[in-house]
Amino acid sequence: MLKNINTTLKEIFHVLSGALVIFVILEIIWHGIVLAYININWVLIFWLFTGILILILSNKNNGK
Amino acid sequence: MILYYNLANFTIKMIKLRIILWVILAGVVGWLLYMGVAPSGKISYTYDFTKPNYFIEKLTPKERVKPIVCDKETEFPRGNSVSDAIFCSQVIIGDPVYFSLHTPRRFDEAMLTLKYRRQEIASPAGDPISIPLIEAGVLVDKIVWRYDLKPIENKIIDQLSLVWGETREGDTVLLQRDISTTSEPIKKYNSIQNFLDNLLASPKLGGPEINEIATYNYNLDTEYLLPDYKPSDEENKINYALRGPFQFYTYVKDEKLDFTFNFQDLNKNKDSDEINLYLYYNNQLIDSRHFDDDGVSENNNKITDRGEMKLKLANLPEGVYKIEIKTNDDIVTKSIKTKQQKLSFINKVWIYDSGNENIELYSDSSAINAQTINPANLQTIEINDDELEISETYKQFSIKIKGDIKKIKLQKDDVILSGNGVFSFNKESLISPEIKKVDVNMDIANENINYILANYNYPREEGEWKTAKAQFDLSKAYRENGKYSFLISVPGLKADDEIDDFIEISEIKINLQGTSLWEKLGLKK
Repeated sequence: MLKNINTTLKEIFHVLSGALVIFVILEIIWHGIVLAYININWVLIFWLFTGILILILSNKNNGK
Repeated sequence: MILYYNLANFTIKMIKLRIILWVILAGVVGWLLYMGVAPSGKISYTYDFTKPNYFIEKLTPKERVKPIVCDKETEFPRGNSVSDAIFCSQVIIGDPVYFSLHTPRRFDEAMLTLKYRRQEIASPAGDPISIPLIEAGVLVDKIVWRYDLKPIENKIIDQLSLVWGETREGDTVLLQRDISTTSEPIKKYNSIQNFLDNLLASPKLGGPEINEIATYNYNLDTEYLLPDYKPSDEENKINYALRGPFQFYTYVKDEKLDFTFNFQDLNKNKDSDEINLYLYYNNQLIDSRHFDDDGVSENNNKITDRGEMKLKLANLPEGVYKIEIKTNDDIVTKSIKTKQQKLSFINKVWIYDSGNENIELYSDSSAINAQTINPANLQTIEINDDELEISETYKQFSIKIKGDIKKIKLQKDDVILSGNGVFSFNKESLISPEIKKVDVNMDIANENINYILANYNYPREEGEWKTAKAQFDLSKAYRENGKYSFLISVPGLKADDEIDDFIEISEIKINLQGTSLWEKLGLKK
Protein backbone atom coordinates (compact mmCIF):
# COMPACT_ATOMS: atom_id res chain seq x y z
CA MET A 1 0.00 0.00 0.00
CA LEU A 2 2.75 2.42 1.04
CA LYS A 3 4.66 1.46 -2.07
CA ASN A 4 1.62 2.32 -4.25
CA ILE A 5 1.23 5.69 -2.54
CA ASN A 6 4.95 6.30 -2.95
CA THR A 7 4.77 5.47 -6.67
CA THR A 8 1.75 7.75 -7.11
CA LEU A 9 3.54 10.57 -5.26
CA LYS A 10 6.56 10.06 -7.49
CA GLU A 11 4.34 10.60 -10.56
CA ILE A 12 2.98 13.81 -9.01
CA PHE A 13 6.51 14.88 -8.05
CA HIS A 14 7.75 14.38 -11.61
CA VAL A 15 4.90 16.40 -13.09
CA LEU A 16 5.42 19.18 -10.51
CA SER A 17 9.16 19.19 -11.31
CA GLY A 18 8.27 19.50 -14.99
CA ALA A 19 5.75 22.24 -14.20
CA LEU A 20 8.32 24.22 -12.22
CA VAL A 21 10.93 23.98 -14.96
CA ILE A 22 8.42 24.93 -17.67
CA PHE A 23 6.99 27.82 -15.62
CA VAL A 24 10.44 29.24 -14.83
CA ILE A 25 11.51 28.97 -18.49
CA LEU A 26 8.24 30.58 -19.62
CA GLU A 27 8.72 33.43 -17.11
CA ILE A 28 12.30 34.01 -18.32
CA ILE A 29 11.18 34.08 -21.96
CA TRP A 30 7.92 36.01 -21.43
CA HIS A 31 7.80 37.82 -18.14
CA GLY A 32 4.44 37.74 -16.43
CA ILE A 33 2.81 35.03 -18.52
CA VAL A 34 2.75 32.57 -15.59
CA LEU A 35 2.85 34.88 -12.57
CA ALA A 36 -0.24 36.69 -13.84
CA TYR A 37 -2.32 33.59 -13.16
CA ILE A 38 -0.31 31.16 -11.01
CA ASN A 39 1.63 31.75 -7.81
CA ILE A 40 4.72 29.61 -8.45
CA ASN A 41 5.47 29.67 -4.69
CA TRP A 42 2.52 27.34 -4.10
CA VAL A 43 3.73 24.97 -6.84
CA LEU A 44 7.18 24.98 -5.20
CA ILE A 45 5.70 24.30 -1.74
CA PHE A 46 3.56 21.44 -3.09
CA TRP A 47 6.59 20.05 -4.96
CA LEU A 48 8.71 20.14 -1.77
CA PHE A 49 5.90 18.56 0.24
CA THR A 50 5.54 15.65 -2.17
CA GLY A 51 9.33 15.28 -2.29
CA ILE A 52 9.56 15.04 1.52
CA LEU A 53 6.65 12.58 1.63
CA ILE A 54 8.39 10.40 -0.97
CA LEU A 55 11.58 10.37 1.14
CA ILE A 56 9.67 9.48 4.32
CA LEU A 57 7.69 6.71 2.63
CA SER A 58 10.84 5.35 0.91
CA ASN A 59 12.58 5.15 4.29
CA LYS A 60 9.60 3.31 5.76
CA ASN A 61 9.53 0.91 2.83
CA ASN A 62 13.26 0.25 3.14
CA GLY A 63 12.85 -0.26 6.91
CA LYS A 64 10.43 -3.09 6.26
CA MET B 1 -0.30 -15.17 -11.15
CA ILE B 2 -2.59 -12.93 -9.06
CA LEU B 3 0.44 -10.91 -7.93
CA TYR B 4 1.51 -10.49 -11.54
CA TYR B 5 -2.03 -9.45 -12.50
CA ASN B 6 -2.19 -6.87 -9.66
CA LEU B 7 1.23 -5.51 -10.60
CA ALA B 8 0.25 -5.17 -14.24
CA ASN B 9 -3.05 -3.53 -13.26
CA PHE B 10 -1.23 -1.05 -11.00
CA THR B 11 1.31 -0.26 -13.72
CA ILE B 12 -1.51 0.48 -16.18
CA LYS B 13 -3.15 2.72 -13.57
CA MET B 14 0.15 4.55 -13.03
CA ILE B 15 0.60 5.03 -16.77
CA LYS B 16 -2.93 6.40 -16.96
CA LEU B 17 -2.23 8.71 -14.02
CA ARG B 18 1.04 9.83 -15.62
CA ILE B 19 -0.73 10.59 -18.90
CA ILE B 20 -3.52 12.47 -17.09
CA LEU B 21 -1.08 14.55 -15.03
CA TRP B 22 1.09 15.50 -18.02
CA VAL B 23 -1.99 16.27 -20.11
CA ILE B 24 -3.21 18.57 -17.29
CA LEU B 25 0.18 20.30 -17.24
CA ALA B 26 0.15 20.62 -21.03
CA GLY B 27 -3.38 22.05 -20.75
CA VAL B 28 -2.27 24.60 -18.13
CA VAL B 29 0.73 25.65 -20.24
CA GLY B 30 -1.49 25.86 -23.32
CA TRP B 31 -4.03 27.96 -21.43
CA LEU B 32 -1.26 30.30 -20.16
CA LEU B 33 0.05 30.73 -23.70
CA TYR B 34 -3.50 31.31 -24.97
CA MET B 35 -4.08 34.04 -22.37
CA GLY B 36 -0.71 35.59 -23.18
CA VAL B 37 -1.09 35.55 -26.95
CA ALA B 38 -4.83 36.36 -26.88
CA PRO B 39 -5.16 34.87 -30.41
CA SER B 40 -8.54 36.50 -31.01
CA GLY B 41 -6.95 39.90 -30.35
CA LYS B 42 -9.45 40.54 -27.56
CA ILE B 43 -9.05 40.25 -23.81
CA SER B 44 -10.69 41.80 -20.79
CA TYR B 45 -9.31 42.61 -17.32
CA THR B 46 -11.35 43.67 -14.29
CA TYR B 47 -10.19 45.11 -10.98
CA ASP B 48 -12.94 45.18 -8.36
CA PHE B 49 -10.64 45.98 -5.39
CA THR B 50 -11.45 42.68 -3.61
CA LYS B 51 -7.89 41.38 -4.15
CA PRO B 52 -4.73 42.65 -5.85
CA ASN B 53 -4.87 42.37 -9.61
CA TYR B 54 -1.80 41.51 -11.66
CA PHE B 55 -3.04 43.32 -14.76
CA ILE B 56 -4.63 46.46 -13.31
CA GLU B 57 -2.36 47.72 -10.57
CA LYS B 58 -3.42 49.68 -7.50
CA LEU B 59 -4.23 53.40 -7.58
CA THR B 60 -1.34 55.71 -6.72
CA PRO B 61 -0.05 57.95 -5.15
CA LYS B 62 -1.24 56.80 -1.74
CA GLU B 63 -1.55 60.41 -0.51
CA ARG B 64 -4.45 60.92 -2.91
CA VAL B 65 -6.38 57.75 -2.15
CA LYS B 66 -7.83 56.21 0.98
CA PRO B 67 -7.30 52.53 1.86
CA ILE B 68 -9.56 50.02 0.12
CA VAL B 69 -12.74 49.38 2.12
CA CYS B 70 -14.73 46.15 1.87
CA ASP B 71 -18.22 45.41 3.07
CA LYS B 72 -21.22 43.29 2.24
CA GLU B 73 -23.00 44.66 -0.79
CA THR B 74 -26.29 44.74 1.18
CA GLU B 75 -24.66 47.36 3.43
CA PHE B 76 -23.46 49.31 0.47
CA PRO B 77 -25.80 48.84 -2.49
CA ARG B 78 -24.14 49.44 -5.83
CA GLY B 79 -27.32 49.42 -7.84
CA ASN B 80 -30.93 48.38 -7.73
CA SER B 81 -30.11 44.72 -7.15
CA VAL B 82 -28.08 43.80 -4.11
CA SER B 83 -26.55 40.58 -2.86
CA ASP B 84 -24.57 39.35 0.13
CA ALA B 85 -21.36 39.34 -1.94
CA ILE B 86 -18.36 41.21 -0.58
CA PHE B 87 -18.04 44.58 -2.20
CA CYS B 88 -14.86 46.66 -2.13
CA SER B 89 -14.10 50.17 -3.24
CA GLN B 90 -11.45 52.84 -3.01
CA VAL B 91 -11.91 56.55 -2.44
CA ILE B 92 -9.95 59.15 -4.45
CA ILE B 93 -9.41 62.38 -2.53
CA GLY B 94 -6.86 64.14 -4.73
CA ASP B 95 -6.27 64.82 -8.38
CA PRO B 96 -4.89 63.03 -10.33
CA VAL B 97 -4.42 59.35 -9.53
CA TYR B 98 -2.62 56.81 -11.66
CA PHE B 99 -2.73 53.09 -12.32
CA SER B 100 -0.79 50.81 -14.63
CA LEU B 101 -2.22 48.24 -16.98
CA HIS B 102 0.05 45.24 -17.45
CA THR B 103 -0.58 43.49 -20.75
CA PRO B 104 1.17 40.42 -22.13
CA ARG B 105 1.46 42.09 -25.54
CA ARG B 106 0.58 45.28 -27.40
CA PHE B 107 -3.03 46.11 -28.19
CA ASP B 108 -4.53 48.78 -30.45
CA GLU B 109 -7.57 49.89 -28.49
CA ALA B 110 -8.77 49.93 -24.92
CA MET B 111 -12.28 50.46 -23.65
CA LEU B 112 -12.13 51.59 -20.03
CA THR B 113 -15.25 51.13 -17.94
CA LEU B 114 -15.31 52.93 -14.62
CA LYS B 115 -17.90 52.27 -11.91
CA TYR B 116 -17.93 55.14 -9.45
CA ARG B 117 -19.91 57.43 -7.26
CA ARG B 118 -19.16 60.96 -6.15
CA GLN B 119 -19.51 63.03 -3.02
CA GLU B 120 -19.71 66.79 -3.32
CA ILE B 121 -20.30 68.91 -0.29
CA ALA B 122 -20.09 72.57 0.54
CA SER B 123 -16.83 74.10 1.75
CA PRO B 124 -16.51 75.33 5.36
CA ALA B 125 -17.11 78.82 3.97
CA GLY B 126 -20.41 77.60 2.58
CA ASP B 127 -19.49 77.88 -1.08
CA PRO B 128 -21.07 75.18 -3.20
CA ILE B 129 -18.33 72.78 -4.18
CA SER B 130 -18.59 71.04 -7.43
CA ILE B 131 -16.48 68.47 -9.19
CA PRO B 132 -17.67 69.19 -12.71
CA LEU B 133 -15.26 66.99 -14.53
CA ILE B 134 -13.96 63.45 -14.36
CA GLU B 135 -11.62 62.31 -17.09
CA ALA B 136 -9.46 59.27 -17.74
CA GLY B 137 -6.33 59.19 -19.81
CA VAL B 138 -3.53 57.03 -21.11
CA LEU B 139 0.09 58.18 -21.26
CA VAL B 140 1.13 58.90 -24.83
CA ASP B 141 4.37 60.80 -24.27
CA LYS B 142 6.66 60.18 -21.33
CA ILE B 143 9.04 63.07 -22.05
CA VAL B 144 6.40 65.75 -21.56
CA TRP B 145 4.03 63.48 -19.54
CA ARG B 146 1.19 63.97 -21.98
CA TYR B 147 -1.96 61.93 -21.43
CA ASP B 148 -4.66 61.35 -24.02
CA LEU B 149 -7.67 62.38 -21.92
CA LYS B 150 -11.21 61.16 -22.52
CA PRO B 151 -14.39 62.14 -20.72
CA ILE B 152 -15.87 60.07 -17.95
CA GLU B 153 -18.34 62.65 -16.70
CA ASN B 154 -18.83 66.31 -17.54
CA LYS B 155 -21.43 67.75 -15.20
CA ILE B 156 -21.54 71.08 -17.06
CA ILE B 157 -22.73 69.32 -20.21
CA ASP B 158 -25.02 67.01 -18.21
CA GLN B 159 -26.78 69.95 -16.56
CA LEU B 160 -26.86 72.20 -19.63
CA SER B 161 -28.39 69.43 -21.73
CA LEU B 162 -31.36 69.43 -19.34
CA VAL B 163 -31.82 73.21 -19.64
CA TRP B 164 -30.84 73.86 -23.25
CA GLY B 165 -31.84 70.54 -24.77
CA GLU B 166 -29.60 68.54 -27.03
CA THR B 167 -29.20 67.41 -30.60
CA ARG B 168 -27.39 64.08 -30.67
CA GLU B 169 -25.88 62.17 -33.58
CA GLY B 170 -24.03 59.09 -32.36
CA ASP B 171 -21.43 60.15 -29.82
CA THR B 172 -21.58 63.80 -30.90
CA VAL B 173 -23.89 66.16 -29.06
CA LEU B 174 -24.79 69.79 -29.81
CA LEU B 175 -26.25 71.95 -27.06
CA GLN B 176 -27.84 75.25 -28.08
CA ARG B 177 -28.94 78.01 -25.78
CA ASP B 178 -32.70 78.49 -26.05
CA ILE B 179 -33.21 81.69 -28.07
CA SER B 180 -37.02 81.79 -27.81
CA THR B 181 -38.80 84.42 -25.81
CA THR B 182 -41.85 82.22 -25.42
CA SER B 183 -42.24 78.99 -23.46
CA GLU B 184 -41.80 77.02 -26.70
CA PRO B 185 -38.06 76.23 -27.07
CA ILE B 186 -36.46 77.14 -30.37
CA LYS B 187 -33.28 75.55 -31.67
CA LYS B 188 -31.43 77.64 -34.22
CA TYR B 189 -29.85 74.63 -35.91
CA ASN B 190 -31.90 71.50 -36.40
CA SER B 191 -28.92 69.16 -36.84
CA ILE B 192 -25.21 69.02 -36.09
CA GLN B 193 -24.45 69.06 -39.82
CA ASN B 194 -26.61 72.17 -40.20
CA PHE B 195 -24.60 73.81 -37.39
CA LEU B 196 -21.26 72.81 -38.95
CA ASP B 197 -22.36 74.01 -42.40
CA ASN B 198 -23.30 77.38 -40.93
CA LEU B 199 -19.94 77.68 -39.18
CA LEU B 200 -18.44 78.73 -42.49
CA ALA B 201 -21.12 81.37 -42.98
CA SER B 202 -20.64 84.76 -41.37
CA PRO B 203 -22.74 85.59 -38.29
CA LYS B 204 -24.67 88.07 -40.44
CA LEU B 205 -25.77 85.20 -42.65
CA GLY B 206 -26.89 83.11 -39.70
CA GLY B 207 -23.62 81.44 -38.76
CA PRO B 208 -22.55 81.19 -35.11
CA GLU B 209 -19.68 83.36 -33.91
CA ILE B 210 -16.56 81.46 -32.91
CA ASN B 211 -16.43 83.07 -29.47
CA GLU B 212 -19.91 81.83 -28.61
CA ILE B 213 -18.92 78.21 -29.24
CA ALA B 214 -17.28 75.90 -26.73
CA THR B 215 -16.18 72.35 -27.47
CA TYR B 216 -15.39 69.32 -25.38
CA ASN B 217 -13.48 66.30 -26.65
CA TYR B 218 -14.25 67.54 -30.16
CA ASN B 219 -11.78 68.75 -32.76
CA LEU B 220 -13.56 71.59 -34.54
CA ASP B 221 -11.54 72.72 -37.53
CA THR B 222 -11.98 76.42 -38.04
CA GLU B 223 -9.81 78.82 -39.96
CA TYR B 224 -8.24 81.41 -37.68
CA LEU B 225 -7.11 84.42 -39.70
CA LEU B 226 -6.01 87.86 -38.59
CA PRO B 227 -7.20 90.30 -41.28
CA ASP B 228 -5.20 93.22 -39.85
CA TYR B 229 -1.91 91.30 -39.55
CA LYS B 230 1.02 92.78 -41.46
CA PRO B 231 4.40 91.04 -41.73
CA SER B 232 7.50 92.78 -40.43
CA ASP B 233 11.27 92.44 -40.88
CA GLU B 234 11.92 93.46 -37.32
CA GLU B 235 13.54 90.76 -35.20
CA ASN B 236 11.88 89.94 -31.89
CA LYS B 237 13.86 88.27 -29.15
CA ILE B 238 12.68 86.58 -25.98
CA ASN B 239 15.53 86.94 -23.57
CA TYR B 240 13.92 85.05 -20.71
CA ALA B 241 15.31 81.54 -20.45
CA LEU B 242 12.63 78.86 -20.55
CA ARG B 243 13.12 75.53 -18.87
CA GLY B 244 11.89 72.21 -20.16
CA PRO B 245 9.38 71.50 -22.91
CA PHE B 246 6.92 74.05 -24.24
CA GLN B 247 4.57 74.72 -27.12
CA PHE B 248 3.54 77.97 -28.70
CA TYR B 249 1.39 79.42 -31.47
CA THR B 250 2.73 81.75 -34.07
CA TYR B 251 1.27 83.37 -37.17
CA VAL B 252 2.56 83.55 -40.72
CA LYS B 253 1.29 85.77 -43.55
CA ASP B 254 3.32 86.58 -46.67
CA GLU B 255 6.58 86.04 -44.80
CA LYS B 256 9.10 83.39 -43.85
CA LEU B 257 8.67 81.36 -40.73
CA ASP B 258 11.90 82.29 -39.00
CA PHE B 259 12.92 81.01 -35.57
CA THR B 260 16.28 80.53 -33.89
CA PHE B 261 16.43 78.75 -30.55
CA ASN B 262 19.50 78.75 -28.34
CA PHE B 263 19.72 75.79 -25.96
CA GLN B 264 21.69 74.96 -22.84
CA ASP B 265 21.94 71.70 -20.90
CA LEU B 266 21.82 71.97 -17.11
CA ASN B 267 23.13 68.38 -16.65
CA LYS B 268 21.08 67.94 -13.49
CA ASN B 269 19.89 64.45 -14.35
CA LYS B 270 21.31 61.38 -16.06
CA ASP B 271 18.56 61.04 -18.66
CA SER B 272 19.21 61.39 -22.35
CA ASP B 273 18.75 65.07 -23.21
CA GLU B 274 17.48 64.99 -26.77
CA ILE B 275 15.82 68.08 -28.17
CA ASN B 276 13.06 67.78 -30.76
CA LEU B 277 11.25 70.56 -32.53
CA TYR B 278 7.93 69.86 -34.24
CA LEU B 279 6.04 72.27 -36.48
CA TYR B 280 2.29 71.74 -36.90
CA TYR B 281 -0.20 73.37 -39.27
CA ASN B 282 -3.90 72.51 -38.87
CA ASN B 283 -2.89 69.80 -36.37
CA GLN B 284 -0.70 68.11 -39.00
CA LEU B 285 3.04 67.71 -38.46
CA ILE B 286 4.75 69.49 -41.37
CA ASP B 287 8.39 69.77 -40.28
CA SER B 288 10.78 68.82 -37.48
CA ARG B 289 14.32 69.31 -36.18
CA HIS B 290 16.36 67.12 -33.86
CA PHE B 291 19.39 67.50 -31.56
CA ASP B 292 20.96 64.34 -30.16
CA ASP B 293 22.00 64.04 -26.55
CA ASP B 294 25.25 65.87 -25.78
CA GLY B 295 26.81 62.66 -24.49
CA VAL B 296 27.20 63.95 -20.94
CA SER B 297 25.46 61.26 -18.91
CA GLU B 298 26.54 62.60 -15.52
CA ASN B 299 24.48 64.84 -13.28
CA ASN B 300 27.47 67.14 -12.67
CA ASN B 301 25.41 70.38 -12.71
CA LYS B 302 27.81 71.88 -15.25
CA ILE B 303 25.90 73.94 -17.78
CA THR B 304 26.87 73.11 -21.34
CA ASP B 305 25.96 74.99 -24.49
CA ARG B 306 23.87 72.97 -26.91
CA GLY B 307 23.97 75.47 -29.75
CA GLU B 308 21.37 76.99 -32.03
CA MET B 309 18.45 75.28 -33.69
CA LYS B 310 17.11 77.15 -36.70
CA LEU B 311 13.72 76.81 -38.33
CA LYS B 312 13.36 78.83 -41.51
CA LEU B 313 10.60 78.00 -43.97
CA ALA B 314 9.32 80.02 -46.89
CA ASN B 315 6.11 79.94 -48.94
CA LEU B 316 3.89 78.82 -46.10
CA PRO B 317 0.15 79.46 -46.37
CA GLU B 318 -1.32 82.12 -44.11
CA GLY B 319 -2.47 80.89 -40.75
CA VAL B 320 -1.62 79.77 -37.25
CA TYR B 321 1.32 77.40 -36.74
CA LYS B 322 2.11 75.45 -33.61
CA ILE B 323 5.72 74.81 -32.62
CA GLU B 324 6.55 72.25 -29.98
CA ILE B 325 9.91 71.99 -28.25
CA LYS B 326 9.94 68.49 -26.85
CA THR B 327 12.68 67.84 -24.35
CA ASN B 328 13.13 67.26 -20.63
CA ASP B 329 13.62 69.68 -17.73
CA ASP B 330 17.41 69.50 -18.10
CA ILE B 331 17.24 71.65 -21.21
CA VAL B 332 16.90 75.42 -21.04
CA THR B 333 15.95 77.50 -24.07
CA LYS B 334 18.25 80.44 -23.43
CA SER B 335 16.71 82.68 -26.08
CA ILE B 336 14.22 82.67 -28.94
CA LYS B 337 14.82 84.94 -31.93
CA THR B 338 12.05 85.35 -34.48
CA LYS B 339 10.67 87.62 -37.14
CA GLN B 340 7.14 86.51 -36.34
CA GLN B 341 5.06 89.03 -34.45
CA LYS B 342 2.78 86.57 -32.70
CA LEU B 343 4.12 84.16 -30.13
CA SER B 344 1.89 82.71 -27.43
CA PHE B 345 2.89 79.85 -25.17
CA ILE B 346 0.23 77.19 -24.83
CA ASN B 347 -0.99 76.35 -21.31
CA LYS B 348 2.40 76.45 -19.59
CA VAL B 349 5.65 78.36 -19.42
CA TRP B 350 8.53 77.85 -16.99
CA ILE B 351 10.73 80.93 -16.73
CA TYR B 352 14.14 79.67 -15.66
CA ASP B 353 16.20 81.16 -12.83
CA SER B 354 18.41 83.79 -14.47
CA GLY B 355 18.13 86.54 -11.86
CA ASN B 356 15.44 88.44 -13.78
CA GLU B 357 13.02 90.59 -11.82
CA ASN B 358 9.71 92.31 -12.52
CA ILE B 359 8.77 90.11 -15.46
CA GLU B 360 5.52 90.95 -17.25
CA LEU B 361 3.39 88.42 -19.05
CA TYR B 362 -0.08 88.44 -20.57
CA SER B 363 -2.59 85.62 -20.60
CA ASP B 364 -6.16 84.90 -21.59
CA SER B 365 -6.45 82.03 -19.05
CA SER B 366 -9.44 82.26 -16.77
CA ALA B 367 -7.54 80.27 -14.14
CA ILE B 368 -3.85 80.84 -13.57
CA ASN B 369 -1.63 78.45 -11.61
CA ALA B 370 1.82 79.28 -10.30
CA GLN B 371 4.50 77.12 -8.73
CA THR B 372 8.18 77.31 -7.89
CA ILE B 373 10.74 74.75 -6.83
CA ASN B 374 13.19 77.44 -5.72
CA PRO B 375 12.89 78.58 -2.04
CA ALA B 376 14.62 81.87 -2.92
CA ASN B 377 11.89 82.68 -5.44
CA LEU B 378 8.82 82.49 -3.22
CA GLN B 379 6.87 85.63 -4.05
CA THR B 380 3.55 87.33 -4.57
CA ILE B 381 2.41 87.54 -8.16
CA GLU B 382 0.23 90.42 -9.33
CA ILE B 383 -2.50 89.38 -11.75
CA ASN B 384 -4.51 92.43 -12.82
CA ASP B 385 -5.64 93.84 -9.49
CA ASP B 386 -5.42 90.52 -7.65
CA GLU B 387 -2.52 88.87 -5.92
CA LEU B 388 -1.42 85.25 -5.89
CA GLU B 389 1.05 84.34 -3.19
CA ILE B 390 3.48 81.48 -3.72
CA SER B 391 4.27 80.72 -0.10
CA GLU B 392 5.59 77.15 -0.46
CA THR B 393 7.83 75.35 -2.88
CA TYR B 394 6.57 72.39 -4.92
CA LYS B 395 2.96 73.47 -4.35
CA GLN B 396 0.71 74.83 -7.04
CA PHE B 397 -1.25 77.97 -6.19
CA SER B 398 -4.26 78.93 -8.29
CA ILE B 399 -6.47 81.91 -8.88
CA LYS B 400 -9.53 82.48 -11.05
CA ILE B 401 -9.59 85.86 -12.78
CA LYS B 402 -12.40 87.40 -14.81
CA GLY B 403 -11.77 89.41 -17.95
CA ASP B 404 -10.27 88.73 -21.35
CA ILE B 405 -6.57 89.49 -21.08
CA LYS B 406 -4.74 89.44 -17.74
CA LYS B 407 -1.51 91.18 -16.97
CA ILE B 408 0.78 89.03 -14.83
CA LYS B 409 3.69 90.58 -12.99
CA LEU B 410 6.32 88.29 -11.46
CA GLN B 411 8.69 89.70 -8.84
CA LYS B 412 11.31 87.08 -9.71
CA ASP B 413 11.78 84.35 -12.27
CA ASP B 414 11.97 80.53 -11.79
CA VAL B 415 8.20 80.24 -11.72
CA ILE B 416 6.09 77.69 -13.56
CA LEU B 417 2.98 79.44 -14.87
CA SER B 418 0.13 77.36 -16.22
CA GLY B 419 -3.48 77.87 -17.16
CA ASN B 420 -6.24 76.99 -19.59
CA GLY B 421 -5.14 79.59 -22.13
CA VAL B 422 -2.02 81.08 -23.64
CA PHE B 423 0.83 83.20 -22.21
CA SER B 424 2.89 85.85 -23.92
CA PHE B 425 5.66 88.27 -22.98
CA ASN B 426 3.95 91.22 -24.64
CA LYS B 427 0.34 92.03 -25.23
CA GLU B 428 0.67 92.51 -28.99
CA SER B 429 2.04 89.03 -29.56
CA LEU B 430 -0.81 87.29 -27.77
CA ILE B 431 -2.77 85.03 -30.08
CA SER B 432 -5.44 82.59 -29.00
CA PRO B 433 -6.71 80.51 -31.91
CA GLU B 434 -8.24 77.73 -29.86
CA ILE B 435 -11.95 77.40 -29.35
CA LYS B 436 -13.00 77.54 -25.70
CA LYS B 437 -13.16 74.22 -23.91
CA VAL B 438 -15.91 73.12 -21.54
CA ASP B 439 -13.67 72.46 -18.59
CA VAL B 440 -13.52 73.12 -14.87
CA ASN B 441 -12.71 76.82 -15.45
CA MET B 442 -15.52 77.57 -17.85
CA ASP B 443 -18.07 80.18 -16.84
CA ILE B 444 -20.90 79.63 -19.31
CA ALA B 445 -22.88 82.73 -18.28
CA ASN B 446 -20.03 85.23 -18.25
CA GLU B 447 -18.28 83.92 -21.32
CA ASN B 448 -21.46 84.23 -23.45
CA ILE B 449 -21.35 80.67 -24.67
CA ASN B 450 -24.40 79.77 -26.76
CA TYR B 451 -23.29 76.52 -28.38
CA ILE B 452 -21.49 73.49 -27.07
CA LEU B 453 -20.26 70.78 -29.37
CA ALA B 454 -18.94 67.64 -27.73
CA ASN B 455 -18.06 64.04 -28.28
CA TYR B 456 -19.58 62.79 -25.09
CA ASN B 457 -21.85 60.08 -23.73
CA TYR B 458 -23.59 60.51 -20.40
CA PRO B 459 -22.66 57.99 -17.69
CA ARG B 460 -25.22 55.30 -16.92
CA GLU B 461 -26.73 55.66 -13.47
CA GLU B 462 -27.66 52.87 -11.04
CA GLY B 463 -28.75 54.53 -7.84
CA GLU B 464 -25.81 56.48 -6.47
CA TRP B 465 -23.38 54.63 -8.69
CA LYS B 466 -22.52 55.58 -12.22
CA THR B 467 -20.85 53.66 -15.02
CA ALA B 468 -18.95 55.48 -17.74
CA LYS B 469 -16.88 54.29 -20.66
CA ALA B 470 -13.89 55.82 -22.40
CA GLN B 471 -12.14 54.51 -25.49
CA PHE B 472 -8.40 54.92 -26.04
CA ASP B 473 -6.12 54.47 -29.00
CA LEU B 474 -3.31 52.33 -27.59
CA SER B 475 -1.33 52.26 -30.83
CA LYS B 476 -0.04 55.74 -29.89
CA ALA B 477 0.22 55.03 -26.16
CA TYR B 478 3.51 54.75 -24.31
CA ARG B 479 4.30 51.23 -23.07
CA GLU B 480 7.25 50.38 -20.85
CA ASN B 481 8.03 47.02 -19.21
CA GLY B 482 4.77 45.66 -20.59
CA LYS B 483 2.72 48.40 -18.91
CA TYR B 484 0.48 51.19 -20.09
CA SER B 485 0.05 54.07 -17.67
CA PHE B 486 -3.46 55.36 -17.03
CA LEU B 487 -4.68 58.37 -15.10
CA ILE B 488 -7.96 59.37 -13.51
CA SER B 489 -8.25 63.15 -13.43
CA VAL B 490 -10.72 64.98 -11.21
CA PRO B 491 -9.83 68.68 -11.52
CA GLY B 492 -10.61 70.59 -8.34
CA LEU B 493 -10.34 67.57 -6.05
CA LYS B 494 -7.60 68.34 -3.53
CA ALA B 495 -6.29 65.98 -0.87
CA ASP B 496 -4.96 68.77 1.33
CA ASP B 497 -8.08 70.92 1.59
CA GLU B 498 -10.59 70.68 4.42
CA ILE B 499 -13.44 69.62 2.18
CA ASP B 500 -14.65 66.06 2.43
CA ASP B 501 -15.33 65.59 -1.27
CA PHE B 502 -14.30 62.44 -3.09
CA ILE B 503 -14.78 60.05 -5.96
CA GLU B 504 -15.26 56.43 -4.99
CA ILE B 505 -14.29 53.75 -7.49
CA SER B 506 -15.74 50.27 -7.20
CA GLU B 507 -14.62 48.72 -10.46
CA ILE B 508 -12.13 49.33 -13.25
CA LYS B 509 -12.65 47.18 -16.30
CA ILE B 510 -10.56 47.32 -19.44
CA ASN B 511 -11.48 45.58 -22.69
CA LEU B 512 -8.52 45.38 -25.01
CA GLN B 513 -8.55 44.87 -28.73
CA GLY B 514 -5.63 44.35 -31.07
CA THR B 515 -4.28 42.32 -33.95
CA SER B 516 -5.45 38.73 -33.90
CA LEU B 517 -3.02 35.86 -34.33
CA TRP B 518 -4.49 35.09 -37.76
CA GLU B 519 -3.98 38.70 -38.87
CA LYS B 520 -0.43 38.61 -37.52
CA LEU B 521 0.29 35.45 -39.49
CA GLY B 522 -1.24 37.02 -42.57
CA LEU B 523 -3.97 34.41 -42.77
CA LYS B 524 -6.75 36.99 -42.54
CA LYS B 525 -6.97 40.37 -44.20
